[in-house]
Amino acid sequence: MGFGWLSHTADTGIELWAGSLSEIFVEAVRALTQTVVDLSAVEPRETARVVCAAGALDLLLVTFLEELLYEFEVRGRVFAEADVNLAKADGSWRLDAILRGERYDVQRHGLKVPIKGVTYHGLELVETGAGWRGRVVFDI
Amino acid sequence: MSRQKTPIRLERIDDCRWRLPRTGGMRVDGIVYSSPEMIEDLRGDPALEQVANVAHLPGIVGASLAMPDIHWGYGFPIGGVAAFDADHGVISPGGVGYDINCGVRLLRTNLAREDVESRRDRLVEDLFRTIPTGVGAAHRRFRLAPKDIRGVLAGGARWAVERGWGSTGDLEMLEESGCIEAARPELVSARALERGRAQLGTLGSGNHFAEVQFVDQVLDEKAAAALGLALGRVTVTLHTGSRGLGHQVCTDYLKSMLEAASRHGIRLPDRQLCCAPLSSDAGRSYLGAMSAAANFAFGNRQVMTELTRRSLERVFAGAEAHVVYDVCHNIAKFETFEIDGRRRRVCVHRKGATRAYPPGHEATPAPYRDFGQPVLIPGDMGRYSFVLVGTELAYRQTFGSTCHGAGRRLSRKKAKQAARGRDLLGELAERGVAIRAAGMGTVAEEMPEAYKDVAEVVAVVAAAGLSKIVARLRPLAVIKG
Repeated sequence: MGFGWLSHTADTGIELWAGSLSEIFVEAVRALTQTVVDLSAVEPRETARVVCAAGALDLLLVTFLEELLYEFEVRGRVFAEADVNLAKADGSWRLDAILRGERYDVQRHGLKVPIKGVTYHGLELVETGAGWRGRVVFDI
Repeated sequence: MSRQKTPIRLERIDDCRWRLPRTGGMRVDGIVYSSPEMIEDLRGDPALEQVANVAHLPGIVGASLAMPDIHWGYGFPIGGVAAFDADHGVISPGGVGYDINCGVRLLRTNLAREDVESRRDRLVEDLFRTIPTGVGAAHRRFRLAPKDIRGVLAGGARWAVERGWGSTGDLEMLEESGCIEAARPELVSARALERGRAQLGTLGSGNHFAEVQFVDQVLDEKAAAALGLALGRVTVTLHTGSRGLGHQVCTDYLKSMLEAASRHGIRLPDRQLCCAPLSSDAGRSYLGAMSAAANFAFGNRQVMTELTRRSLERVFAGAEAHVVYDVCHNIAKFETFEIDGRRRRVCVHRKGATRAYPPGHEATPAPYRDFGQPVLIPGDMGRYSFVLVGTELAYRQTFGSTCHGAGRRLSRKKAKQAARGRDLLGELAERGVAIRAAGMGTVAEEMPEAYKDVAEVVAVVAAAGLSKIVARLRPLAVIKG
């Protein structure tokens, strides 16, 4: 499992790969944190819980990233690790995650790129021969 | 990511316009304003595919347009303009973007270039301390109560002026007089209100800035005189938008518009182009919430204007600053045009494009009416910005629209690589520009060479007849997020 960057004039896309679907969402946490701040400086001191739902898996990935952005911008929290549980019921996907991280500190975590929004442009979350792959573009 | 399936065909119309002929599901042609040199850089660029994608949307009127500063966006290209029929057309958050009513305000002062040059460091320091910058920038002691934030969403710049942030004279000099009447604050989510409540009067980050400049060239003396832009006169440009509140409104409504598009059977070439009929509940709701966020941006620039005045007064006794004009460059709103011989009300989307109304238009403030509506085009922080005025041709060809800025040349990552090991602050100081920023990362990403030369973009809109160049402004001091 891992993550990388997609090439866009504004360098805003992330690519995620993992053996399982829930690991894709764990990578999404790490990729978003590494986009905005220095992931290696974030320590798992506190936990937070995020619960969200969407009608399709790829839309769930967008919604989850939006929740993480909200945690960063409004609550001042950054995360490095996560336990993610996914369940499908009544045609809708539900995510329940325990996130581990800490309060944002610009001195220690730095600031790379502010993200305005998580877009649906070129959005992908697909099963491949080797597991799962996701692609998301941010507007910065 | 967007991948090109078939190469986009481009037909040259004249020296300034290229047509993307209607094919497949396109309802109209695409038209790109460019130059023979700039169009070569665009061939194979995903931005052209985005011009074609916009042409697929129901009720589009005339053509899917792109200004010369076109570049790859999400949904609409940046630099995209499209108008939709009020009865049969759609409205799309992808045609406005996350930073709703991101825009530019220009102030002219009674100071001369030499005044600022002698106290430049003090001024930049004072501005930096007065206007909060950076991600999540917030006022520590200035948080809006829920009824006040609803007041800004309904009243825009007027709300701010009524509370002492500026004078009523300021309001006459703003696009839409700083308030869009279609706003429906009750449709803005609690989460959006929470993100906005401490952000009125804050700059934010990325390409937003407050810049002190001087008029270094006057290209149209009469128009410049009407705008109060004499050679050597000091001006201030503010570039910001609706902050986290607007980002959240866009985020919220993209979801409802995806559902609405599917409900109304609208085929989307890109999901970021999700939309709803203007006549539907979903469409009207987005228009109401987006207009409310636009008013927040007008209020933001109004409060920031007053903060700037206070800062100028602290550094220069007797300093004054008057609003020249204020333009939106990410917006969708109803406007009326003469189309095929009759007056029609259409919903114009401008995503990285500026309104450019002609001389004589009733929406243009009286002092400028003989010359056209002022258009404010910021460049990069090392070179220059331009002031233009709108034309009759823009009114007829582009729904009264023109370009909005320079556009990136280097990606943020490449800009940072190019900046490595260099003393950017020192380089800017050599060019006569003092800078204060919340983070050095932003300075690297936003350095002058990361941007195209805005003079080339402005030359195209002037040659195409979409605007007339009035004056050029050179930076003296910049604050950034």
